[in-house]
Amino acid sequence: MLLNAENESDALELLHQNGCTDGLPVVIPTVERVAAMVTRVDLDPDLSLGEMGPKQGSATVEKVAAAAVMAGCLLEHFPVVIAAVKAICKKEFDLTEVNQTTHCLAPLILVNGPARIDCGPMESGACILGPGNRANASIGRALSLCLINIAGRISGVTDMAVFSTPGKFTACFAEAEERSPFEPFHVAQGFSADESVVTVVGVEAPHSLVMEPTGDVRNDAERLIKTIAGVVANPGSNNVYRYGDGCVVVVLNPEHATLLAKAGFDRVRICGQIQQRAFVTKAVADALYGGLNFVHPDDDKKIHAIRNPSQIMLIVAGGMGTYSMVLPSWAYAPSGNIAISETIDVFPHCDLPFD
Amino acid sequence: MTIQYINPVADCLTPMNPYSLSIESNQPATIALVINNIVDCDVFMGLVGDALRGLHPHLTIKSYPTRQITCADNILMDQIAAECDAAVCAIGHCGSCTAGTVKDGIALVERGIPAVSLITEVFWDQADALARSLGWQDFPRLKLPYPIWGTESGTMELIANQTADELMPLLERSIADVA
Repeated sequence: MLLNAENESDALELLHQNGCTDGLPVVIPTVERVAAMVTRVDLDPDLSLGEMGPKQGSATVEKVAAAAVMAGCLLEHFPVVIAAVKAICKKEFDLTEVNQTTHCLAPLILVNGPARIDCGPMESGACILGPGNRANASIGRALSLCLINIAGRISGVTDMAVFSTPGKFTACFAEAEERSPFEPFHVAQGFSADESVVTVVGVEAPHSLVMEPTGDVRNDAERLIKTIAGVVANPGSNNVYRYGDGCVVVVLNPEHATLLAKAGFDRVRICGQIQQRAFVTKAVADALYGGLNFVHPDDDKKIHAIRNPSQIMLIVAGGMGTYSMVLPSWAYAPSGNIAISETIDVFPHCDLPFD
Repeated sequence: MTIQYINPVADCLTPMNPYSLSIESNQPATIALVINNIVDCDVFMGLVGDALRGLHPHLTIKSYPTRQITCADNILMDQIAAECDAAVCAIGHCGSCTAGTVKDGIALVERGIPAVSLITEVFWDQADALARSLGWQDFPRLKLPYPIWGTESGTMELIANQTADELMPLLERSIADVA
């Protein structure tokens, strides 16, 4: 369906008035711009990538392209947006509940593989979640605009978040594969290194953690693991309150990752150590939760923030320094608030410049 | 110069279903209380169950805790459909539990079981929008004050009694008849 306006300024005001924006100005999705975006991925504009709840809107390629144009995407960014939409349309993402919860939850997009360059360039270093990189900002924003206009996520009406989160504007970055001592995240998940993969997971805003190395590698590694576990085991987090449900995203900066690698840690050992050490005592849980949360059959003295190391999504990204970050999840989703990965079809014309 | 642009808003293609389920008045029937894990939902629904038994001695009231904040699993829904004649799903008291309460009600309606979902006033519009997008705009909901959790016991009992008073007309006739 086409809309008409006297000029782009009027069109922008109409889009704002009709609740089609995130509150910021958008690029007007003119027929020509949307057609160019669709052409880039060589898909039928009427092809539905899935239904998006709560509205159960059909995510056609054309509607997703309109969101990508509005978000400021370049044509080469679009394949990543397509893959991210496919990922969140999967039943296991529980999109209706993710969009409607009172929790401060937003989809975070991680990109691995050649698409980080071919469909970007995307930022994997300093300020990955801040302003500055067009691909990071616009790809994440395109997904957010899909949620508003296709899923029907309306603040205060169908999105009942008590506070919401800045991640609902945009949250997207690439893994720093070249600066990581570990295999890339998508390879650890079973994809090949030359595949491009988007992984989407619903998470809170980042919680920073600081650990300054002293040069004693083994002791530094021990302190870093303990510090990460301490942040993961924040007793106010849903993961703890839910007795270990949901996933947790841990983003190590390359310096911290290298430190752990030098001390002999790999991905499996890091996640295992964090899982073991991230707990609150049952006495603390009983005192804080007042018996209001869920009774868990495990009468252990420790309440683990996560039950299994596989619930930790370990990523290496960010600039150099003493900070890494933890992003807890909601933990109430029917399918367990899990990360969903989808391969990115980079398409043959992805390297053409925008014109 | 006039410009043309794409409407970014997607259509909801879910067909709308007319709601027409009901149980017969004053006949023996088994009513399921579908109780989610929101704090005090079990207490409140216990009071609703007591009030229903008092008002309608011919009814058998059975409680089904979902142990979920979001929607119940299909196994429990199948069990309720096999064991009960009608259901009351509770409580829509937050964003995701409102979605779950609406989905539970619709899941039972789609199994042929008359159902009412109890939704607190803060989340009423959300429930309305979700019921519409799932194709069951007319499936019955009953509005409760907010909050239920943490409410003093006497007040909670009053709300429960009023809820019980209003429930059976919604289950015994279709909402179109009520309107």
